[in-house]
Amino acid sequence: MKGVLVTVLALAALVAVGGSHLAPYDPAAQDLALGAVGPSAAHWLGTDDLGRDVFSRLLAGAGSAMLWPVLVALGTTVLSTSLGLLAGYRLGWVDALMMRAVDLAFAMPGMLVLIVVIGVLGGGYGWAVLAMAVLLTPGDIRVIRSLTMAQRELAYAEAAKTLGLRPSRIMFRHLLPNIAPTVVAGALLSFVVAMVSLAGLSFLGLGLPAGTPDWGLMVEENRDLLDLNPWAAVAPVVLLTLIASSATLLGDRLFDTLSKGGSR
Amino acid sequence: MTLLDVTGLTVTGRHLIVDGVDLAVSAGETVGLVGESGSGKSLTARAVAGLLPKGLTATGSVTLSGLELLGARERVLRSVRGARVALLMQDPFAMLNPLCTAGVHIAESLPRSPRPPSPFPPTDPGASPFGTVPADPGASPALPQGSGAAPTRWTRATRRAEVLRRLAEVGIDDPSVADRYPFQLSGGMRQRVALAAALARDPELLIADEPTTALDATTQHEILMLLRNVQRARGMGVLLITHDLRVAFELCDRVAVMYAGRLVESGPGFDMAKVPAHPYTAGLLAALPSATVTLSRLEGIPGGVPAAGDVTGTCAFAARCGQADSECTQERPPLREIAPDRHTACLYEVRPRPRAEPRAVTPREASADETLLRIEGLRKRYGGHVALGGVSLRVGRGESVGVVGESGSGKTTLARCVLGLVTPDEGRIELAGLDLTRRARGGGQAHRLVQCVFQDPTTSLNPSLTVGSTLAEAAAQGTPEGRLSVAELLDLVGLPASYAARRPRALSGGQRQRVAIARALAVRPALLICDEPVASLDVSVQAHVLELLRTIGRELGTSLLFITHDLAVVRQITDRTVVLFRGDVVEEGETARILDAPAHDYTRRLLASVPPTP
Repeated sequence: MKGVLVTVLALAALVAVGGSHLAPYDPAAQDLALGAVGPSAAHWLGTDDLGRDVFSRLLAGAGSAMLWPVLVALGTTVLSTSLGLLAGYRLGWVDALMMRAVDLAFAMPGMLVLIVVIGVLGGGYGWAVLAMAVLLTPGDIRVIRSLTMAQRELAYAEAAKTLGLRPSRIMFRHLLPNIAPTVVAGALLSFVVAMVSLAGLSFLGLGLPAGTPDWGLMVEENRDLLDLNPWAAVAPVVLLTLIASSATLLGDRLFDTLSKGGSR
Repeated sequence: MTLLDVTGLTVTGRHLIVDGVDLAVSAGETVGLVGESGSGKSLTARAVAGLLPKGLTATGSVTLSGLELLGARERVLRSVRGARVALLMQDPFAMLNPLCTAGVHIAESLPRSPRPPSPFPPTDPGASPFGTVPADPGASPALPQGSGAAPTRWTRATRRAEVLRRLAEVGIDDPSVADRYPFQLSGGMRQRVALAAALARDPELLIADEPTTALDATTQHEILMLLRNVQRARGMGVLLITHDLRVAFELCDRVAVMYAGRLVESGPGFDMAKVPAHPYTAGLLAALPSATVTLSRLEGIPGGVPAAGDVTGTCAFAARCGQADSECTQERPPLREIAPDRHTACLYEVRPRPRAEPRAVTPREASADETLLRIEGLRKRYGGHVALGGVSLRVGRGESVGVVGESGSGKTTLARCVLGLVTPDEGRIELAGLDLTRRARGGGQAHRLVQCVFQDPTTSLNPSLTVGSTLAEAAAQGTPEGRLSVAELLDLVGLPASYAARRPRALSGGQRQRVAIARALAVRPALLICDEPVASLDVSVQAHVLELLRTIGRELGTSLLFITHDLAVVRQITDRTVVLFRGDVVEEGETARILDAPAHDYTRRLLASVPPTP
């Protein structure tokens, strides 16, 4: 099972990196005479209403569909892990301040903030990615903080403190490896949330200019073609679902194996 | 009359765990099942109650007055559990539902309808030394009005009265306890409530799995006596699972010793304590620390317990036995009868062990006059609770000082103050001339002077670091001159250098505690604080670790501040003892003097509750 999940995600990563080179056609090349037709030997997933090859557009869009979520996941994980460790280890006013900020962040409607950020600032995914990383962080901070608070009470953490080790060393060398299973699973979950949300944003027409080969945008643009070439809209959805569920399940598996291996 | 009859009980999971255990408990008899961790004693008890964890299967036969329980349907088991067989578990903190009052716990365990002629009369007040007062006659469980025999439903009043009567049976006379929640009760009270709930349906057999292990010495003693009185008054059979030989000998009519999943010896506790018929039992007895004599050497049993599956065709103990020969590994020695009701699985007569000579009381040579640690008027309160109420003590250079007290006495808070893990409210801690009470903690040098061995071997090492990196990191915190290498540190605590590559989960409890000691010694501290370092170790391992601490203290000249609730341990390892009671020092002096002639009431009480060492 884990092998299948890893294979799916590895293939996805490969396509994300080299997708535009693998594409059999130029994703932007139009063939207005052909129009929207179903799958054939020449066009595996058919074409859209401008006669563009759906398969090539899917491959070309894989990069942005996964690169941005990876950036969000990285940003969120680094931020939430270090802040969560800090709050959970230091406690006191550091913790109080951080937790009130987290409460505040929780009160904000995430999707709305994203829409406003993109609407006001415009200019592609850049700002959206930053905003999303910030929006996803508070929840993870809480999780990491509570785990840190449990670990810091254990004898090994007290022993490290008694040895006079620097707090940063205790946090990152002693506590972090013992909460790593959750960090890894959390990172994969953030990736999934970011991927689906960004696709949702571009479905709403926010973030990317029309015509860009992007999965969310493809669903939006091709949803009128369900009778002529349903694959043009369905294929990106299938891919999103497949990758999202693989990442979620893999996170779950990894959590189990890492927990068994690391601590007992 | 045999109540419980276990024959050829075998429990297997991925490996063999319990291997052909035969056991019988008669009505009115208390049988002790003794063994170290991993011996399979708890799983034997669970198999009897039909409560094996998923993935384990039991074969053989378990009958309760002729009714086969093994492989019985869940419906049958449910009618037996609680009603005929009750369980009392170890942890009084986890055993009760925190959202239910004590009264609710008992009430919900009561039989569905009151049984007018109770099969067990209320406890004879004379039998209980704890002033058990049966509820006044007016409040006693009202017999069904009108028709005599037909059992009726409980009414609110009769149920309440019955609950109070049950509480009185376990020595709780205060009716308000019924309305309290578990967190408002002490450990001993919780264990009493749990016992009352276990007895609520008047079972014929009570299985008590380490019922007193989590309790203080004095409370432990009270609960054991209570258990005995209840058992006698009811004529109930009791199967007591314990790792503590002394507890088993004190309470049980018969004792069965388990080792690596099988019985190695059984017989009346009294005889067994006098003349053990199996080398394992003899080894366990020899490893018991004594509160009355200071021994020159503490002897554990070498090696570790093998897995039951690895020793099926041989004597399980042969590899660790001093008198094993080729016969012992030929085949599995049967449990043979050597006297009426006395069985052993050893082929030979056990050679009497030379009991280690009492140690000539020679206080350490070291200049104990020179003060290393001086604590003055140390106070710490948590909210309304006073943890330390002005404690003063001193530890000389090279001296070993014991701090004794029960939970809540403040002994751990004291240790944590010295370690800098807790900031005291008031008072002064001075270590080798450095003031440790200030924020700076002696200019950041404190960690080179004082280190600690913590209690719980399961959490004392970082599970994600190898032993080697843990030790190397610790050594790097000490001064560069005289720094010990990882191999030297491992050698110091008697572990092979190859253990450096292992992670804690590949070590046994005793080995982990050795590594923890090596880590603490890596910075060559002047003072080593030991916070119950052997409390959760098996007896045979405990002796090894204590002996290690004793020799290391002597060889390196490290002073020890030894925190424990166990007077026998204090006797073996300390020169001077301080007795703490509710945050105050009540007695202080030479260990031998305090244990032989205690001056304070509390010390006497502590001493009286130590089970006699056979």
